[in-house]
Amino acid sequence: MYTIEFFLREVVLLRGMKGHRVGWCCTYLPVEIIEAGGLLPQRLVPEGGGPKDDALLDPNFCPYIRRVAGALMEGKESPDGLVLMNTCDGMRRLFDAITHYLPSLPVFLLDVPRKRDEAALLYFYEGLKELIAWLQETFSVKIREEDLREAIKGANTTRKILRKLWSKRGIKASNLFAAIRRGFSLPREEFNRLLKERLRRPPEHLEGRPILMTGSLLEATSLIRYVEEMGGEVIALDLCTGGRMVEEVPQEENLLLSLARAYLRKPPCARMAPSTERLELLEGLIERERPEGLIYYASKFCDPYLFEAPLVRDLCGKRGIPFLLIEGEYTGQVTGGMKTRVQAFLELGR
Amino acid sequence: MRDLGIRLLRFFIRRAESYTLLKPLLSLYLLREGNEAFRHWVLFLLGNLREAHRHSKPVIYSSAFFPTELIYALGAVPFLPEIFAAVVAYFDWSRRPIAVATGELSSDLCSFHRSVMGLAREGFLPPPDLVISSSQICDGANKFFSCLAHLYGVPHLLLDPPYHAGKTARMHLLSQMREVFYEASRLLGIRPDGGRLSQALRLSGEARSFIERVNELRRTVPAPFPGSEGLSYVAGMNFYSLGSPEGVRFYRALSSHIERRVKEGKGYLLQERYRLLWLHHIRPYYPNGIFRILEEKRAAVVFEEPNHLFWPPPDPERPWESLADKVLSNPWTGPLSRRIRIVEEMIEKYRVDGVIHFSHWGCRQSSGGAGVIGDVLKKKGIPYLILPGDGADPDNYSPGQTRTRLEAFLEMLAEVQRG
Repeated sequence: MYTIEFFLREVVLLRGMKGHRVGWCCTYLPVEIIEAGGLLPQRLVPEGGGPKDDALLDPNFCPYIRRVAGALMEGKESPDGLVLMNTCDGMRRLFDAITHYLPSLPVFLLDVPRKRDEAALLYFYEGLKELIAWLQETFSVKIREEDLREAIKGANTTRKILRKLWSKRGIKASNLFAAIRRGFSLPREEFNRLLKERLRRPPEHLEGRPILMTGSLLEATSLIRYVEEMGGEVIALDLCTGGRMVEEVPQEENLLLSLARAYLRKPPCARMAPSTERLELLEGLIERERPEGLIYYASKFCDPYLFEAPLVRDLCGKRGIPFLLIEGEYTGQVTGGMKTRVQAFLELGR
Repeated sequence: MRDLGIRLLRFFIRRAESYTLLKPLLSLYLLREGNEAFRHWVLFLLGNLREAHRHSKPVIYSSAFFPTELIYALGAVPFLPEIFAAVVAYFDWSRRPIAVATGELSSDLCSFHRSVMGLAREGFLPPPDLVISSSQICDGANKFFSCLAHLYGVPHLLLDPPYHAGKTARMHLLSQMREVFYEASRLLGIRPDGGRLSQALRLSGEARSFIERVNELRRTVPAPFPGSEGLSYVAGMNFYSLGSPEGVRFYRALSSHIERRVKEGKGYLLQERYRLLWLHHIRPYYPNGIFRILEEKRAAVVFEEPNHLFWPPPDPERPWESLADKVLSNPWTGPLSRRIRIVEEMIEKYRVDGVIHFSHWGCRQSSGGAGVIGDVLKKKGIPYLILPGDGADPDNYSPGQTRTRLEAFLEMLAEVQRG
């Protein structure tokens, strides 16, 4: 939970930042590049539901993307620039809508291949070079190799602490998720400092039924917390802000290539190919973590996850693990319907 | 009793002999059809189903935006399930497969894909040896085809065309196309044949020259050819037949048919009052009143987006480069501004009075751009209607609302015309 002190400290920190704020949405973006330019990357995770959510995009669109568009139109999110990724039809159209309706906001669209072979890697690498050129020109900054090295070092520290926190099972998933969410808008050093503080705290008591959570959930804290309240313990998070994060970026000779490789080949989300890789990943998680249930959260209208859900259901069926599919809006709230289903799911097999 | 009917239907649908039997009967029936191109379409589809069910050659499932030239070059039988779903909807049979698929797939997904999934689950489709799809344009298709491959237990090859069209992107695409082609050859035990690829490109180029002629003829006032047909079998052949001799025959016949009508000064409507452009690759295929309402008010759909010729003439001596150019020049990829430019070109070329954007439920790529396109066109004073609907699911069609929207739009056109 956000405390008042934390909120105030965050405001003071952000106000003190001299660099421009660059908004981003998708975890396939190597934020180190933005940081290397002395800019502050801020993931856009606006509070759910606004009057302009349906103003730019069709109602049968990803609620998160509609909310981002709405928040930008309402001025509730006001970055100095935006880096979007061509990860799905929705993101592609968000880019089109923003460039049309908010022409003064500089936006860059980075293409992300679905494949992860060498050819795709080189294509992605070239895209990163273009991103650097765009950032340098748009914000009149210089992104040098030593800056990139420093930024990678800082981000690797974050990842290392998060891994440590998670692997030691010293933190509840809801608290971990909330910490990651806070980190989206903080300067790296501050985020690392907070995480280190968290690491020093005594480990939390984890005792609920082990649950694996996967899907396209972006604003997960409240749902995870509800699972915990109902007697579940989310022991594995295959979410883009959880287990699908980059493990570590090696400091190789070609830093940019190293970044491209680490990000493109991180644990895949459902839009990546081949689909079998994600099924293997989930199977591995099931094998390793031995969950007693799998909760699959798909945002409304998210084609990749909605198509993948039956495959994961089959996988769970084969492994004898209860499966719960939740299709939801981007509100940050656990609706009554969701509560009932989570309760029933957790009671199952007791 | 109903189950027995379904079993019998499945029995006939799955046998190649059924199509061999149907062919002479249908050919005879179609003799009354004045449009030879339509006859070609029906017989093409019949032949395709026969070959796919006979399975004497490998059957490849492919997505609508994958260049079929590559499949013809492999000597395999292409099967485009999305087109087949449109045919099923045309016969008003899509309710059942959609209901079957709804048990596993969200109703927010594209109904064409849900329909195919239901048909596949019920064993109506010819089993594939391989699935090849392109991630170009549609996210849903990308995942849908991988689900189909999973269902049939066959490999899935993906062509992932880049968003941008620069030099690096082109190189990336070229290497992928070669990889898909050679990997498909390996998986199917086919010897890759460069000569066959050049031949497919030659045929594609020949068909293209007729498409160019057709599109030129369709500029005529009054409109010689109905957009409703442009959105059905003409678009179907555009997706399905390029690279095959049937494709050439079809477009040659279509060109002659339209040329005849133009010479006779015949419009497809008795009197044409408004000229409309239809945006989106599809229309509702099940029985519906959309085109009847338009015709009542003498509004002609003079052209439609899927038949816009965006790709340059191919060079059979440079087949890979030609295919890369074709894929990369698709205006529905890349930024929306590319599509808008093409829409503006079509408005001018076909002397259009108003534009209808059909927003198919479940199609994010298209409906996501509908608002911006509308904004651009409205600023230019071009009447524009977003028509929400569903291409394959008749239960998602609302006749009352559709009529109200269309009539309001036509009133607006009348007002513009009155000045």
